[in-house]
Amino acid sequence: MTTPYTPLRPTSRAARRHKTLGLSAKQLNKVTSTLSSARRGLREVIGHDDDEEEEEEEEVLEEMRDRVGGLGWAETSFAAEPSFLQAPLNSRVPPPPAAAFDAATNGKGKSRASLDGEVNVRGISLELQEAMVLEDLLFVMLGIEGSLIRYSPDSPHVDDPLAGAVFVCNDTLDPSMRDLITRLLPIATHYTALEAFIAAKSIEGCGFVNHALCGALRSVLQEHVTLVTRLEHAFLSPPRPGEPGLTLHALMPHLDPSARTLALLYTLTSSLLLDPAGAETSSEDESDVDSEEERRNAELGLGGIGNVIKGLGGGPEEDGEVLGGEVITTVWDCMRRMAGDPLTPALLNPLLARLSTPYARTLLLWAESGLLADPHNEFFVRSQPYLAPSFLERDYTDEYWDRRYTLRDGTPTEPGQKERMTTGVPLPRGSTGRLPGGACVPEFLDRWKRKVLLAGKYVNVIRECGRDVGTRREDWEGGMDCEPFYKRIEDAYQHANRTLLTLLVQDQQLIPRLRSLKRYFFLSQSGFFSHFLDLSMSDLRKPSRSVSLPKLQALLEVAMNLPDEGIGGFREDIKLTMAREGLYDWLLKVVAVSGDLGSIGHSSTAPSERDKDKDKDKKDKRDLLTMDALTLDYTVTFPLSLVISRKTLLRYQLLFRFLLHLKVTEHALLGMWTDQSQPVWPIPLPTLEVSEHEAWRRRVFNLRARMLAFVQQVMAYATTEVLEPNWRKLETSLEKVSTVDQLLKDHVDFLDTCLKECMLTSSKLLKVYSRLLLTCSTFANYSSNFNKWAAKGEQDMQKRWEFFQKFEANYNHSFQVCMDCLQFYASSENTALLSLVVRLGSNGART
Amino acid sequence: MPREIITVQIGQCGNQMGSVFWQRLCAEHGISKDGTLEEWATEGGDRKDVFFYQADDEHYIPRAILMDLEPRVINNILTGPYASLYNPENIYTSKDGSGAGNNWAQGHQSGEKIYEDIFEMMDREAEGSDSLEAFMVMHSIAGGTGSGLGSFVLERLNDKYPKKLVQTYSVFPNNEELSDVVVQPYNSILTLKRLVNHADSVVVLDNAALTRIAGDRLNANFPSYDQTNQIVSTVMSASTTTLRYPGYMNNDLVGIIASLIPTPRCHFLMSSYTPFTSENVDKAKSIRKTTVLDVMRRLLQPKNRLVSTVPSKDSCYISILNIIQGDVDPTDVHQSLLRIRERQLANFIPWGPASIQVALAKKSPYISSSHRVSGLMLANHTSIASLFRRTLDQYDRLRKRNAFLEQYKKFKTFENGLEEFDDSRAVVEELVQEYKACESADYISYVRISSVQVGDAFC
Repeated sequence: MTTPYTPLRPTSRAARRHKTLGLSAKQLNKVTSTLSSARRGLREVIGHDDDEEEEEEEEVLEEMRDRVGGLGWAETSFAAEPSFLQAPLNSRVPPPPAAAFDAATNGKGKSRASLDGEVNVRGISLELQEAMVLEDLLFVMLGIEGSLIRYSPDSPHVDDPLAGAVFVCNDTLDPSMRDLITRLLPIATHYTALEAFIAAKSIEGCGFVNHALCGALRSVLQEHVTLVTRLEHAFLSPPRPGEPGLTLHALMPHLDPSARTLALLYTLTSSLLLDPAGAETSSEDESDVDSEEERRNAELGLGGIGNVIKGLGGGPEEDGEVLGGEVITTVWDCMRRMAGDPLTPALLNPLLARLSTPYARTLLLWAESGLLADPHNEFFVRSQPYLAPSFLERDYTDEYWDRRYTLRDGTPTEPGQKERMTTGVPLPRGSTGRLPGGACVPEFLDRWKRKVLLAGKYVNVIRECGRDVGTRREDWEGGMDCEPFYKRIEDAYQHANRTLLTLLVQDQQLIPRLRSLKRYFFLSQSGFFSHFLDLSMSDLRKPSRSVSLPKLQALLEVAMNLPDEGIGGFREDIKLTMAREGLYDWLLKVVAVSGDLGSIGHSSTAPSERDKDKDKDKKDKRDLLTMDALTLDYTVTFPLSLVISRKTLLRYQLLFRFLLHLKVTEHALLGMWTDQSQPVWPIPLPTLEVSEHEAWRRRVFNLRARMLAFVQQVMAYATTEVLEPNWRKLETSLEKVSTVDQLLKDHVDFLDTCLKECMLTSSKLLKVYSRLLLTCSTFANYSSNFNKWAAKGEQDMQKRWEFFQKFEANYNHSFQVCMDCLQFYASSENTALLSLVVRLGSNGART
Repeated sequence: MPREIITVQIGQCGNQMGSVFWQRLCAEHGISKDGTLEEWATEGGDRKDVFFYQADDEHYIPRAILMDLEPRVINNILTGPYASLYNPENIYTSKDGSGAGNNWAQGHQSGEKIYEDIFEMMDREAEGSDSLEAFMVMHSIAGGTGSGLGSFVLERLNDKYPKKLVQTYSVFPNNEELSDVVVQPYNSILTLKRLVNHADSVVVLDNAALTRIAGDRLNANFPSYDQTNQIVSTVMSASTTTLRYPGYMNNDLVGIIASLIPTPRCHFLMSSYTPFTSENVDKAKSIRKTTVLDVMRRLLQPKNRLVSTVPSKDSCYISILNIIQGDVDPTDVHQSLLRIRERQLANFIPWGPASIQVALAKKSPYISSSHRVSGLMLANHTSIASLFRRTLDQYDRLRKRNAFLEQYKKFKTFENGLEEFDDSRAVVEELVQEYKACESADYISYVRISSVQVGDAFC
């Protein structure tokens, strides 16, 4: 860039210098060699040859020479120029003159101070003063120190170039002129600040939006430079006859628009800068490994206490750069705040359009192709690469769906969900209250963010399934706050949604899958299951440890493969497994911990809880009968596992185990009935008097009948009044469902409603209900004892009454408690139970 | 295959019922007259193997055993359109073809003679099934074969298969009119004893009621046997729909019966069905509207029962199971139950679980029907005792005169006296008393005096 004409200018310049200053040949050589690299910075400094300034010039040159020599620039002229490396374009514009000033204050501060004092224009004619100061001013407008207008001694740009240089006017200048000039000086400050901002933000790592912003700023500054150049031209060229030439007053209106523009941009950029304290703490490099680890943990939801502590001290992303969405938001806010000024929209609208372009492209790439190209974390969607689809098969929560891609600001994916995700979400900045970086969603996109996230997610799922997601559409150019852009988001969303829905429903046969779940988990055609119970009843009564699961699996397959069961139905995906805990114990624990079943998945994996109850679990497990532990499992592959996730499957399993209990108990009571219709029971009696034996028999029969009625009524309620109607509702809603998320929501709602209406969500009900059912099954287990007694006729009456009445009293009591409880819940929070109350109403103990 | 049911049809009446019943089952499952599956019967979801098994050539064969002491009815079946449906090895007709002469004793004694033959069929069928659940016996209790041979089969079934359910569909004679069979009270009493002692559940079908329903519902003053048999077969097929079209519940016979029969001896069930339309019975009147409530209310009306009883003011239901077929909204069921309870349309025993159970069942997809909902009620009602009481009265009248006893004395059971008659009478009397006792709240409240404390816990 500058290199090509390097050989030419030094010669002329040096020659001039030589003539005017009379440097020695040795000095000259040194200067010429170093100037080739320092020339750019110095050109203006040494560019004018007023006599008054000769000494000063020399002084500066000497300083430069010292510095340059000391740093060894002679050999490594280009390579060492930091600004050039960081931002090549910077070599074209003058760097903030900090270096020169720096050197002055450090080395020759005193001499400069004395020099300052020496520049004295008092007594010089006003015309001359104006000419001098005008020339100075034209330099100062480009951020270069003049002779009459110099850096203020306490100018902040020394420590913080981004704040811009502050200039002061020579005291000896005519006061009226000084006033005018003081009004113009902020332009210089703003100009230098903007230059510094561009230099700081155009380095790598600041993100595309910042770069676009820098580009836009640069072109605005270019206009300013052009203006100054034109003014300089006017200043240097001889005035036309009859005209006064460029005067300070004539200058003012020319600079005025520029002043306003730069002031506005300065406000904008300074609001984009962090507090120096915050900006400088870049300790991330040191703890790189740690923070990486922590972030990963946080993303996997394992952060726990560590994250809380961390959160208090500031999250891992809290002190990040201002970039991406936050920049756009800031510009947008700025524009709206100052909307009253007609200049603002005119200036900021094109600016916003330019810096929105990369953001809009990222957004559209994500929404339309599902690709997340966001190396600088500028975009509001975040990806967790740790979560591969295979993760889904073993994990209990819908990790993939919920956490693979999230919104950086922690907004939950589902509209109804109240709790925000907290892990990995940065804290808002103290100064602006905005979330930092990409987490900050531009306000006009706020209502679209969920759709954008979902659209990308859907496309991603389709991509993961190996489907073609279609070709990319043309890139976006310009601002985002407009209808065509929204329409593209909407189109992308609709398209992705439709495609995924079609994929799930048609290609993956979602509905038949759900039907098969209903068939096997809800036993909606339970013929096979009765057969399975027949085959496996002896095993089901054994402790779960001593039973061979493969054997049960084989029996189940036999039952499922009966010719009348038809073909298909995905029965090959049905597996038997053993749960670690009894249904009701486990549910009670879950309900006790979380208060509701929403967090089943989480609490089941919570390690601390597991440890605590480990000993108890071991004991439980030893006693756990197979029928209490048995449950079904279902193999689901991606992408169906989005719908039939572990979380939903768990709900299916809960309902299955609930029904299994009822079935097993019913089966046992029916066995008891068969026993009791054997000849030993209905002995034809010689007399019609009610003997004690007869009375005992009747009571046993009646208790059994009541238990059977209870079990059958609960089962009838659960199946015909809960599962089936809710299932039908689900099927109708699935027919007209238009979005995948609605589908997911409907499905989970369906399961939750079923759980709730099956009494599985309230700890009180669970307790009383499980106790009642336990009484029934225990009673049925003692069937053979009753048979023996029945065979004995009138013997042992005392003992058998006692034995029986324990059960009877227990059942009566539990039943009454259960009914009270049901009535309470039916009248308060769970009205569906009302019909169960009606069903059981006449089963009660008679007083 | 699992939970199979073997049907045994005995005697003229039993075979006639059976033949209509099988026609109906074939129609419901889409099985053609020769046992092949119709091409359009692909909807599935039904379990054919409860009542059929498949031969090597894919033909469906009923698990049915046909026996009669005279060849007329069975010959009719074997010359009829469904002749090739049945397994010929499962048909027994007496070689001499003399019948039982409306004599229980003769039927019973012939049973002894042909025991080997008929139980060879029973055993073969039982062994051919995976987990046999029940025998379903169809017979009448008034004639000779159905009552005599039927009683014999019941006794032996109970001996040989004590753990298997035995359910009978027993046609009781029309004892409001004079019958051509004068000895039918004798036959009835003797058979009733076996039904009490050896059957697990008896669905009582009363000829009087059948005729009445045929008259009311079908506008036929003198209904043909076919029409009454169609009524019966409709009831039988409806009572087995939950087995054949499995739903969430009631997929086995024992589940249905156990809930209906809390006390083993009180196992005589009455049934009602509504609506009878021309789809199940020829020339039936059309029914305009069927809602769940309508159906459930009609089921409770005595005029729809297939049994004529004389309820006393204390009569009450021990249990009720409604099998509702068709497209039903479960909330309708709930509402109907509430309504029925409010209006006290059904009185229950005061001491036990007292609620109407409702099983929802599918309709056969192969039979179209003009009405949305149809229903069957199986109920255990104490007024059934009045039927036995009437039989007892008629028996007593005959017995007092010692009429027609000679023909019984010819047979082995009565060679050494008529104790069997007295014994049977006692059993039936007891049954009547037990039903009577059920109506009282004291039925189970007997509490041993020495255990007052525990009794308190109960109260």
